[in-house]
Amino acid sequence: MTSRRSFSEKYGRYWYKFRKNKLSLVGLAAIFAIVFIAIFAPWLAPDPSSAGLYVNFAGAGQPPSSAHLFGTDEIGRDILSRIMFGFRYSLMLMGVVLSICVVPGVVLGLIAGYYNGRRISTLIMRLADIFVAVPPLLLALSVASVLTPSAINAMLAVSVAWWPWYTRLVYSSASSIRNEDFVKAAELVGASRSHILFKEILPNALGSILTKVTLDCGWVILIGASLSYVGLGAQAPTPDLGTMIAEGSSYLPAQWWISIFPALAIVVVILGFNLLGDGINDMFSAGIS
Amino acid sequence: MSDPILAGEGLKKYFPTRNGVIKAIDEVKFQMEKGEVLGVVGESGSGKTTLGNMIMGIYPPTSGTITFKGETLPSRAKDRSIQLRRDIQMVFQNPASSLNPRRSVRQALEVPLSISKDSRSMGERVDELLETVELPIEYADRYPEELGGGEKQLVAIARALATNPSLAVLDEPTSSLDVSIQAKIINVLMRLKTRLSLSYVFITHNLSLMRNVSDRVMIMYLGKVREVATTDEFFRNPMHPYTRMLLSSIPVITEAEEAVKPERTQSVGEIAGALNLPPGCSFNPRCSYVMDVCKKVDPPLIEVAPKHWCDCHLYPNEHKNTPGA
Amino acid sequence: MPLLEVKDLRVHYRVYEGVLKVLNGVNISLDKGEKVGIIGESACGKTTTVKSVMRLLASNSIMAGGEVRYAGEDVLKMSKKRLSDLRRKRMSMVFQDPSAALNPVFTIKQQLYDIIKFSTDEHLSREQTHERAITYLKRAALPEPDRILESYPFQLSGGMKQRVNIAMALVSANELLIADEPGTSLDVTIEDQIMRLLKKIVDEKGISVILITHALGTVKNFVDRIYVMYAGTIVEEGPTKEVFNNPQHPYTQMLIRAVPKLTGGGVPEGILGQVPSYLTPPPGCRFITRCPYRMDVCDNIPSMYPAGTGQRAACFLFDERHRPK
Repeated sequence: MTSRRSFSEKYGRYWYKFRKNKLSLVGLAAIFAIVFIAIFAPWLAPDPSSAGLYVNFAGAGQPPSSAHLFGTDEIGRDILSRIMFGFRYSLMLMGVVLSICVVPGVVLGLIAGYYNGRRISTLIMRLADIFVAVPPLLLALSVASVLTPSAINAMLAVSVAWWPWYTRLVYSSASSIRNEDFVKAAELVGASRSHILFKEILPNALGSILTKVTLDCGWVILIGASLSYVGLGAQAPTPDLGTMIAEGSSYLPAQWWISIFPALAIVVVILGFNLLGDGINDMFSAGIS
Repeated sequence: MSDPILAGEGLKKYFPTRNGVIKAIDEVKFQMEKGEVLGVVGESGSGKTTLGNMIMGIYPPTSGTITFKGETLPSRAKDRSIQLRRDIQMVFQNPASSLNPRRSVRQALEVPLSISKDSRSMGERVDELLETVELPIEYADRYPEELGGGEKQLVAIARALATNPSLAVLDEPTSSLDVSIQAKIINVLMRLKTRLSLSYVFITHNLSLMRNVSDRVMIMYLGKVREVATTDEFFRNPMHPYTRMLLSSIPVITEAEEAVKPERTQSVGEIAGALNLPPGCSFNPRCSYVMDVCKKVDPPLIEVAPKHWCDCHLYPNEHKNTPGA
Repeated sequence: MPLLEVKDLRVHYRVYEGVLKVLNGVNISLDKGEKVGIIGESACGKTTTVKSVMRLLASNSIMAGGEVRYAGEDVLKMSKKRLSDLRRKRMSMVFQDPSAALNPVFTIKQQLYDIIKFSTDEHLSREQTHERAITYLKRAALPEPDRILESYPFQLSGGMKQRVNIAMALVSANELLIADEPGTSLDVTIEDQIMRLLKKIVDEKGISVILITHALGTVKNFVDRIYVMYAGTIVEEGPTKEVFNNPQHPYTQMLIRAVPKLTGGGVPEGILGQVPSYLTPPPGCRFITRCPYRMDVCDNIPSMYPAGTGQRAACFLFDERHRPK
């Protein structure tokens, strides 16, 4: 009687648009690899104990070799393993922060966009403006420095800075979508407000939201690393890319591998997410078929 | 003589802007009978879409009232009861924006259907709606981008009919469609009108279409009604100079149609900007019959011949033998 | 030698679902000073055809065969420089959406001056450029050309923007002007003025014109010859008067019947069926799915046979060997 579309029929078009740009595929592959490594770090890492309390002064400061592909740090821990576990921390930070701030940010943006011109909209947007006016890193630093330095507090600090960007983005989409005829049609029939916001408007704003989430993954990791670099994030011995760079900086340039490899790892992560974000943007753009 | 199903009296809609007041609708009155198709014809700035929006309750009038089935219609849609809102529906002009691109046909139709209770399953009701507008039921799971313009418009019509309305406002429903598809959509609309006892307010700029579809024609220009008459009377005897200009500008195909057009009243001038309306009759800068009085006094809409109203200084005398009022 | 010759043009597009085989051997010719119209419904390939003439096709297009010759030269193979000369000095195009061709952040002056500068290899002083700009604007019947030059596109009405587009096109279109649905998004009285203006200009200057539209009435009073397109093929060709009064090809006949007539006659029937998919078009005549006269031989591609009075139709009904008794 009624036909259901198969998964590939519904979503094949998106994949087609995504893979048109080869670089997006590179990004996708990079992120897959990083996530894989993060999940299976305990089994993939050549020396998992390096990620915890471990000292081996005898093997400290070894340059990259076949035994330690990225060398060892100043107290003898295997850098490659620590980077692998470092990915875990970075991805976790990213996951927590985005889960905290995307949803409220988007919901506020939908409300502000739909009620554009009314007081509630102005209230929300001016509140967002206040947060946006302060540079995110500065705001995160201020919040983190007031609280006891720890992983969780770093995440909180970053979340506080992040939500208004989503509100602004969604406000911009929602305020133009709400004037489309199909929204008017739903209103005329008497559809509930939540139906209109979440079932009519939100799906059309999804493209830009998902693109931003992807790009933000890279940014959040960078900010988290910056916080750790100044000591306000994860504390030793937790392997965190920023902390590793900080600890290794006093050994530059002689034992360059201690800082450089974690830094490169950050570059790869951010680049990967950026390329992936481009691809996601293409997926949602109206283009050639 | 039963009550007209829809009537408007003294309607005005003014939009205040930084640069002045836009008089989108200025003193409009009209009425239509049950089962009728009232054709509202006009170009940009005529106010025809604003009139449609006011009937739907999207904009409240600045002054004046609209009555529906004898009762005054609350001016905002949200002040109207659910039953009332479901009784008057609209089909929008642009099929591409009237359907949510991220929702399937089924999802779009479920929105109006879910508001009323019915013993049958949603799937059955969706199928029934699609059959009513002569679309294959397999289309239920398609998305708007997979439908042609005409098909999208049929879905929009199905959506409007989902609430069993008595009156539908059709805002240029076929203007963006190809001629071969336009004919199909119009045929479906006419069949539905008979089957479901609907009345239509049919807004368009296409007079050839009006000739064949409406029972009564109302010509609007710059916010005012210029001429109203039954279709036959209108085409037999177009009175207003703007109407004559409109008729002679229509591109027609056959020699027979050329013969029917009024002697060449060539279109001249631009449609005045809403903020710079000429004084007196706002058509006077373009009118080939312009007289002094036209530049100073705005003519009233009066019944010049039986059931034929016109607002033009060329016809100052009200028809005396009007049966009933 | 004809000014423009399109021979057996085949153009395909690469899309998600596969390859759209749109143009299936289009043949068009245009003599100097001639005006031809291409009529057809949406997606029939008329815009693709003229974009091929100016080499403006999208990046996912595939030139699958055929030639385009302008004054004897092969347009598809000529060097970029030669093509640029062609576009700057000899041919130009007016598009459907008056706003789309005008850059909203520049004044008309900035845009028109640029076009004038590029249209000639000689160096023009500021005064000379200005003078030429005013001349072109006046030729396009624009009042107060100095004010128009200082305006931004959003300050002009649709009709005025289209006139500006015409003025800009006239700068380069010394031999050929292609107009793609120039009046479709304008009000009917304004469209009438624009088309009359365009006709006057091209007749005065002896410019050849290709006019594309889906509105049959618009083209009737404008062009000498008509090409009727359906699903990427030319189905009929002939003098305007003959094609309209005595259409030969079944599609042309049904198309003309499907237009509502000003003389009445009720709502016309549409054309039953659908345009075939360009992904899997029929191997022979593409109208086969909707043609009431289809025969077995229609699985082959029909050539253009003489028909009617001075017309040609791509239909086996006009092939003596297959004509039904």
